[in-house]
Amino acid sequence: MATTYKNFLSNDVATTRTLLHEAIPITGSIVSGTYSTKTTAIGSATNIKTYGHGMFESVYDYPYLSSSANHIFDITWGYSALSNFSSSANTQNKEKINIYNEFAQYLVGYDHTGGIKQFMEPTNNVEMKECIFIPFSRLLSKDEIKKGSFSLELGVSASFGTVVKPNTFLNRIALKDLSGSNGYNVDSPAGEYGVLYATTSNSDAVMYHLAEEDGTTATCPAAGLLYYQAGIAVLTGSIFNSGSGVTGYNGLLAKTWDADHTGPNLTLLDNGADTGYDTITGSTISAMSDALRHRVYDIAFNNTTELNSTIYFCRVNHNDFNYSSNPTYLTGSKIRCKTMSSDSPVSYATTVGLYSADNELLAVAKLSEPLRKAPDTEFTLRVRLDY
Amino acid sequence: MPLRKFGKNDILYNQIKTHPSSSFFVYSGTIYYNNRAVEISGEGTGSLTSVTVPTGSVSLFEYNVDRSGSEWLRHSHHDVNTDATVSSSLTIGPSSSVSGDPLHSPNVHNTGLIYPFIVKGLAKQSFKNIKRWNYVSDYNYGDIITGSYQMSASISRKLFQASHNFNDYNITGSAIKNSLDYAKRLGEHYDYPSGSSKETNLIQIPSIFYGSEIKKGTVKLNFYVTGTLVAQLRDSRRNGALIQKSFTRTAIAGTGSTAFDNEIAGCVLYKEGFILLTGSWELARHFPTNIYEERNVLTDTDYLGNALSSSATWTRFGMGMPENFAPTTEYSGSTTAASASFSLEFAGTHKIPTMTMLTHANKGEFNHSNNPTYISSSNENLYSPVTGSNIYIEPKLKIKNVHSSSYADPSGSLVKTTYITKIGIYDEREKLIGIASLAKPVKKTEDRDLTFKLKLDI
Repeated sequence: MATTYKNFLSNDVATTRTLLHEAIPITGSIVSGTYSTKTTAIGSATNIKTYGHGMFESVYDYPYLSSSANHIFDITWGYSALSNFSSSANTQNKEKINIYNEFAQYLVGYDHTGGIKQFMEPTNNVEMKECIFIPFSRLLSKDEIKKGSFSLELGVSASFGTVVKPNTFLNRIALKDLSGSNGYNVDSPAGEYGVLYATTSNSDAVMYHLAEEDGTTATCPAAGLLYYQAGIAVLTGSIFNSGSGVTGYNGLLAKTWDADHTGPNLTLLDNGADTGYDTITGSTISAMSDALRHRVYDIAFNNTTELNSTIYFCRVNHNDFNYSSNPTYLTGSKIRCKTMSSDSPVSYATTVGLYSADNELLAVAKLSEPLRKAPDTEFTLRVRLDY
Repeated sequence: MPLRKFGKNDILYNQIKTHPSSSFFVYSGTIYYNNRAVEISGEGTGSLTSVTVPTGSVSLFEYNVDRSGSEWLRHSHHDVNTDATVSSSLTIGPSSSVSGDPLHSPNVHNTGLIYPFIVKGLAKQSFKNIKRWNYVSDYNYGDIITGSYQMSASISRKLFQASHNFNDYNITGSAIKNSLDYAKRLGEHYDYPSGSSKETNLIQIPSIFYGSEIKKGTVKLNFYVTGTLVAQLRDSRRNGALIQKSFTRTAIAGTGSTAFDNEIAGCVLYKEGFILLTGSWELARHFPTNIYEERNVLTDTDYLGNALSSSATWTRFGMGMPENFAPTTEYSGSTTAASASFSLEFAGTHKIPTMTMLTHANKGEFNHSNNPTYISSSNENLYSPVTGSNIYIEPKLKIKNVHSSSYADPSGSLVKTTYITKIGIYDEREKLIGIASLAKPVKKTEDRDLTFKLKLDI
């Protein structure tokens, strides 16, 4: 219990902000391999949660019925009503349009007529009308995905199987927000976003982009958007297409994934017949999400948490706090820790109490060891309060 | 939307006290917490349990579930140029090089595990396990300081022989001396007088298991031999004294003794989470290691790693628990006994502050809505004001009358009716800080008084 209080002056209190990061690696084995064996059908892995509404599926890091499991991210596919893919004859056509609109409302907003704006890749000003959406769990993305750190690696080999096969990943592309470390876009209601550029990631892979040079955004085709604060990756639907598919297709990577630009669309389903984004017309969102999962080789990013701190500089002058009101301070009405009665008073500070204006104790800071305080010393105790 | 201020009697602060129970079962070197089954790891990840903490432990963050940290090697690829499997050091960050731009966009190693990191800066923020000296001397400004989420907690045990002078200068004994002395007012069972140290068995319970204190009267220790309960300790007087009750054993060779019933075998420090056992009388005589062989003693290990043998006593309780929190100093294997098993049960105390807010919708209030559907759709020129060089008149809008009438026509006189679906909580600057949604809309007419009770657990 303090008997002496000292008021803070205006230059005794400072506020700071520190960024704490976490490295988040998510390997493809968690996404599609760990809990689905050869006897497990696609979509039946115990760490993949599907829903009756069929609008998206959720990926967990452990069988989701366990209380230990953490939700990692969701996957869903959708296209705009303005897309050439949109047709009432399609499977889940309405749901796919609704998914696109839902994300577009949240991430892109509305135009001056009140209509929902389409996703737009700002480097080339190309509309993305067919998309794949990957919203990451808040547990992983925290305050925001650290700009410039995101990487999503996908297998782009033609083969495909019910389980993860090495051949699927023989050729790979990595989608990275290469420009994120020094620039980003701000015209989204959901915060800042960057462009995901496609780079090859395997030395023995067939180069899909001849002039690709890692880290040079000019030579890496744009393949999607990454919303940092929202923690959502929006991929163009063309990442698995050769570009020889549907005419009027609005993907950004069309005709670029293969070295000679003539390769076929990638097989996405086990039947081997449906290829590329065209598969979506006759497939459910869940089936498409499973297809993407089995082509995820690796996801990695760093997240950011803002730590706000207030620093109180507790200045103890030479004539302050040299006496104590502790019961043990005195013995026989004499200061216990003095040897001579003529010595200066001395005390040992163990705790700093922070009080409100009306002297209510709000917080206590403990010293690691008692500090000797006498009239011939003065010091400043730096107390930091994080919140 | 109308705002209404809380009155002085509208906000109540309370505290809910919960007492979650915990049970530990110790058998042959393994602890089982709350009879929880061991969650096995996924295919090939290499970890033993899903949360990558030892059995019987709780994971503090439960972040790296089922990850061993080496799983990345599964995805190492074959390099056709060198004819070798490539599993080079991987990084997460903007550049493919490990160093990257240290000040602005540093790269970090991809270890396969989620871990926190911070860049050393002027704010001098760091992780708790980084000592000040290491922070100053081992890191330059701009360096990355990494932490770990692989943290777990479990009960542990330390056994002190009489020669270790637990009551005097032993470092552990000294640390809890003040707590014991303070509790001594409750009875002599807390008295550990100087100069008379006995063999002392200390069970340590981390506070994550019990919260602010162990609930008095809930502590129960069971001593089993080959699955049969031999003796039990309970703090039945709720004063921290652990009192024995014996159970006669007839099925197995050797009999239990009831001579020490109601004897105090130890004490509990409720707030600190320690159980001290000093009861040194024999609880059972024979311990079959199998059906052909019987032993008279249990071989235990003290906290310094010295083996000691004795018959079954309360100081042998908990054999098989880790003897220290740090795995590197754990004396594993030497404290297991196939024939003996132990259980420890208690209830903790968790205090949850709650805030109760009473929100009132009095007569004559909240009877209008700005929702578009509140207005009758039959209004003409809904959004077309009358404008002129000097005038601007918005059209009068009719409220949709949802009041039911006994007759189809006329539909009845207008009764202003709203349906309350949500209650917003605002701060003093009228910033929305919380929303309470109702399970179903509540009808509000002008002559109705309504009060909604909102409860917030903090």
